[in-house]
Amino acid sequence: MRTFITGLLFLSSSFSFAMPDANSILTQARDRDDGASYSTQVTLKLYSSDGDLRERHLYMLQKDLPNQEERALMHFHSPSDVRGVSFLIANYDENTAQPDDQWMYLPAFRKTRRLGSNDKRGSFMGSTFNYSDLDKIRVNDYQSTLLGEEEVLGRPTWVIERVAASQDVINKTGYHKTKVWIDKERDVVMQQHYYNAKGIVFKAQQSTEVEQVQGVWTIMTSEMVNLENGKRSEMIFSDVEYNVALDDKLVSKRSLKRGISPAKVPSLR
Amino acid sequence: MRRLISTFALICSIPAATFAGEWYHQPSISLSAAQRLHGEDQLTSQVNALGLLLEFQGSTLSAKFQGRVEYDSAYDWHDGYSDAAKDEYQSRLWVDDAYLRWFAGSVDLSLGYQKVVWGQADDLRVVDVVNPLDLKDFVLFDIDDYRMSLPMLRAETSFGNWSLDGMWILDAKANELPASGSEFDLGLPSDMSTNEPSGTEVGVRLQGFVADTDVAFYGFHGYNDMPVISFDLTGVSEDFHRESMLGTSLSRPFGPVVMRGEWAFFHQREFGYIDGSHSAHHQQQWLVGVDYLMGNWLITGQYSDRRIAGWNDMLATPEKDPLYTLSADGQLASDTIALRIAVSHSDSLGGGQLYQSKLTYRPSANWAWQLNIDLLDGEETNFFGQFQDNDRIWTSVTYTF
Repeated sequence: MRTFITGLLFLSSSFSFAMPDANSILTQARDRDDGASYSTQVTLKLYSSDGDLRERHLYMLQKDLPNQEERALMHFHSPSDVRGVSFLIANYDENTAQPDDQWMYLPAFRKTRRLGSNDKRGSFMGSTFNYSDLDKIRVNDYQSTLLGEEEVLGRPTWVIERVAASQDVINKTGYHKTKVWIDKERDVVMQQHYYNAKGIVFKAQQSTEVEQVQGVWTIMTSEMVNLENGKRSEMIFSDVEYNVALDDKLVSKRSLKRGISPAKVPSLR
Repeated sequence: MRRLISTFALICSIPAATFAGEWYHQPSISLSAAQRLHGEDQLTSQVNALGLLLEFQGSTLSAKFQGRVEYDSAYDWHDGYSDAAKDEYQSRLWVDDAYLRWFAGSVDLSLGYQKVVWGQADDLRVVDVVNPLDLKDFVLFDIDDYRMSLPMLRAETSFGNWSLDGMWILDAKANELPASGSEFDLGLPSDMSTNEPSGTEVGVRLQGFVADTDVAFYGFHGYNDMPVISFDLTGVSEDFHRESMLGTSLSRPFGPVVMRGEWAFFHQREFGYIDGSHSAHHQQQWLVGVDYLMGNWLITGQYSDRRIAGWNDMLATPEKDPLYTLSADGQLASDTIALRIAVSHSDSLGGGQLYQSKLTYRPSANWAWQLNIDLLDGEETNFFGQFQDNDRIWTSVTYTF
């Protein structure tokens, strides 16, 4: 009997060694080193259900600030119908329990508008990504369970099921449940499925291109398909540079209106 | 116009090597027409416009020009307009921006024709006193479409979560009231004398972020953009008077909504009396707004009002001017359609309403089709009700190259 119990304990401990808990995996993916700042150019490709393509181009800067704050500024520079639109998002460490702050500058009105962060279900610039899809992983917003391991695009991943922890999370994201595949070695989200109230997958994300940039595994292309209407979008990152010298003013409200110019951010040239 | 030409001459006199940076140009062509829903001569405007946006971004210098030339062919065949309206509106040069900006260390300096928007309000003006308005089309377009740029020298700097913005307006202007005999003629005597604003104006704004709240303080010394109408036995005159304004604005999220507020104090603002004289009174004006974001829709409600110190029934202006607005702005069909539905209710002088629906369809980045429906209602004495017969449909097609 003792041998049996010892064996069971061994099995149990070796199982927990091989299968870390879901929150640890998610926390590790959330907190992986991605530098103190970065700059990148982004192409947002919007495909209609008929396959028609529209493109939008933006510059993006991100910088870690004191007080566990992370600021991101996104500035659309083409085409003409979106030129000058900018977003500033201040994310705070999840442990601070402080909600995000968001501002938007619309050149047509020459005005910076404060946006509530309780509802991020809106489409990001017409794409199939919504605003919550741009957020970092929030571990405590969901009750997560490790389902197992699978291979996605040739990469070994952990498969985690995440159920919204509250109605507020559902109201904010529009997602009742998600299933996420995280690269076991690179700590990068490789794939994510989003479920509606009926438990049906209605959106699916996949990181179709991941590259190592300055030692940081970086998603270079992320695709989001809306399975209900057949629309899909791609977010393609280029000229990614980590730990760039960014003045705090470049990720400030004042920069919302001024935008991002490669003339002032050499890494974007 | 002379000052505009001078600004361009200044830009042209800068050595070409200074403009090593990123250039962007965006010409556009548009056709628009307005159809009145009542009465005769229903096609009230048919505007052909050529627009240009030109931008330069260098490491220490940037420049921007945005403007358009317009020709309204309705004045060729419309019998209902006066010669004064034809002179004023048949062909126009409209400049939104024409300025140079220097990044001088921690200070940005900009010189030229600029528009400055103060406050948190949508389409209402409490602390938003810097640029005057061209009221040719009453208040039917979005406010920035009829905000007039002014020549100014502006300096902006920031420190921590705060920024300071000072401006010296080189040539003061006031609102352009609709020309006598035009579509939105206010019925003022065509032969009244006008004392136009002259000289300079100054303004300063300090804005920051404190306790999760966007906060700003404003100070302005210049002209009231609306004239005071006075009269005596010799005739009627419209006079523009100087005044000073101190104000503040706030914006903060509370759960699912964002609350906005503005308050302004106008020191010694001139008001006309019903006996033709005029006198100065202090005035307070305020606004409370709430925004609710729901997916792709932004629902907004606003209330604004004012109080005139020492008001009495000899004043030609009501003591209070409550105004309520409710609007919904949505992006549909992957942002190819933008829809705005808005209603404004003015609760003074018998009451009046403005109902608006604005639809923009962008099948591609180059093409835009707009359809606006503007319905006005109320007492003839009311701000909106005076134009109850001017309900209209306005449409335009724009191609951006």
